[in-house]
Amino acid sequence: MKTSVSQKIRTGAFTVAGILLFIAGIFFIGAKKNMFDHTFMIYGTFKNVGGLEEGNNVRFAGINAGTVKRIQMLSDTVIRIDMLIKEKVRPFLKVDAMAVIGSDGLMGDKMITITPGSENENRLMSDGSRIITVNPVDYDKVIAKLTRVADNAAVITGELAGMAIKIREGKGSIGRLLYTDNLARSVEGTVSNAERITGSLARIASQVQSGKGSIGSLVYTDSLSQGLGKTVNTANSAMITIKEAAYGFSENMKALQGNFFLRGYFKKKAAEEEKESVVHKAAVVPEDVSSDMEEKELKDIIAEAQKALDEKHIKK
Amino acid sequence: MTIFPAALTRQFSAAGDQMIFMRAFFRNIFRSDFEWNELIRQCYIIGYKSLFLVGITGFILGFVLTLQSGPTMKAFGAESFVPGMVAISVVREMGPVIIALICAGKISSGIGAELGSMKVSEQIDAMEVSGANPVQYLVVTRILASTLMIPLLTLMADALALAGGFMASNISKETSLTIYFNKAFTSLDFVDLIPAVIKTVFFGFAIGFVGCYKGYNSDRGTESVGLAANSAVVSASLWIIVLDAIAVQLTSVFAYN
Repeated sequence: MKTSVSQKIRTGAFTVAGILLFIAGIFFIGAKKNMFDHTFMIYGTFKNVGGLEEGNNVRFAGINAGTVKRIQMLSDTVIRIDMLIKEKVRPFLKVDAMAVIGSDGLMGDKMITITPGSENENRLMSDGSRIITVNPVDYDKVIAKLTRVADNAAVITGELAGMAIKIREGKGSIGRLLYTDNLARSVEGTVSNAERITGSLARIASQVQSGKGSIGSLVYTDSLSQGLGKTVNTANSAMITIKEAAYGFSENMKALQGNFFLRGYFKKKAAEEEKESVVHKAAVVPEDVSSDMEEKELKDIIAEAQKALDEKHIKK
Repeated sequence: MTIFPAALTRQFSAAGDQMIFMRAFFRNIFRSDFEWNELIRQCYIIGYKSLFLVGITGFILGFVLTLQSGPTMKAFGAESFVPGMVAISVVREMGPVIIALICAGKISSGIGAELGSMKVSEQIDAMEVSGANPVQYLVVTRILASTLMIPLLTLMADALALAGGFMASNISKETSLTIYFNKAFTSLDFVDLIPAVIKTVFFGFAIGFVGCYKGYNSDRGTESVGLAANSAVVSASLWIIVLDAIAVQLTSVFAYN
């Protein structure tokens, strides 16, 4: 039997398609494992890798950025993990980035999470450099710590229960505060007192406003200022009276001086000048005023008195 | 003559006969004047002509697997694992085995019937008499074609099964091709694909070899043609299952851990 050309072509196409599928499958699976990407290697050391396996993902800022290439035990506490990181990520992987072993979800695979470095760090990771690592949480230690916390919590809750019982019984300040009404009652009394005080204050204010009482009249009427005006007037007239009285007094004093202390002197003078001044004396000097007084002085006094009288009249 | 019971003797002689037949096959691969044309014709018949059957089977395989596992996975809140699960189960196990069984039914029976009828009609004897090498011309080409074509058919069925799975997951929930593709291939690994392809090579060899052996060694008589075709399908299917069990053991020892 001869093989026709079309049979050959179809067989060839079928074979090529199948082989291409196989290659595509290998390539797609490999692409997920970073086999055909350009990668570079970094490593970190851990005390405990928590079940990490070779081939697990490495995530940088949440993006799948590489895979775990090799897990190597250097000593009982140092485990070195080599990671293949995609070259694409390199410009963002600074030297102070940190690698932590975490897991993908509750049941997911273990993986390494790299958190980005600080903003002001400019040096980048290079091939074969070491990354800062944070050791995973040791759950046994956490449980031991939590046990202590639980013990403390038991003690604290016991104490709290005792406190609560005492408070319930009304003992102590808080108990009395919560379970007796003394404070409330005294507060109530204070409040009612305050109410009364404010009430009377309101009344006083309204009385003041209506002009009743001393403060009211002080604030809201002008009787005080009127009274003060009157007082001032009275004081003025009193001053005039005082002046008058002072004038009278000085007159009297002069008369007295004339009478008692200067009588001799005046007598002498009078005697010397009697001849020239008799007529004037009789005409000017009043009868009750001492005739012994000097004529000129008397004239001054009279003028002064006249002036004071004039002033008084003007003021009135 | 023998120290074994008669039934056991028959089994041993059959096994020895098959080993002799296999030796003849391997000897004839590397002989000069290799029948390339006949190989390509057999590849066309075994590979290209089976594509429709295998494609439909693979597509429905992925479609049905997705639909069947969807509700269960949803109950666990793991609906997003369906593409990965379907991809792994199809590529690792379902694709190779189902496609090999389908091909056993189609190819093994076809070869068995063809060679059986040639044996009955004494065409094989005529070839021997005329100096042609019937093993080289009839057996080597068929076994080699089957060995080469079954892996390719399985890969195509796998691809179509993923397409069927994508279609099925779009029935219950809108899924983009990119995310389905990503999920399917993220969960796949080389230890899923490579051992699966290697074992389909053995499946293909088993299909071709059993078909050729049963046809080439059929008795003279018309009814033996049907018998050869029938026993070829049954033996090939059995061999596929046995080989699969061995392959799974080997891969889990060498690849999965």
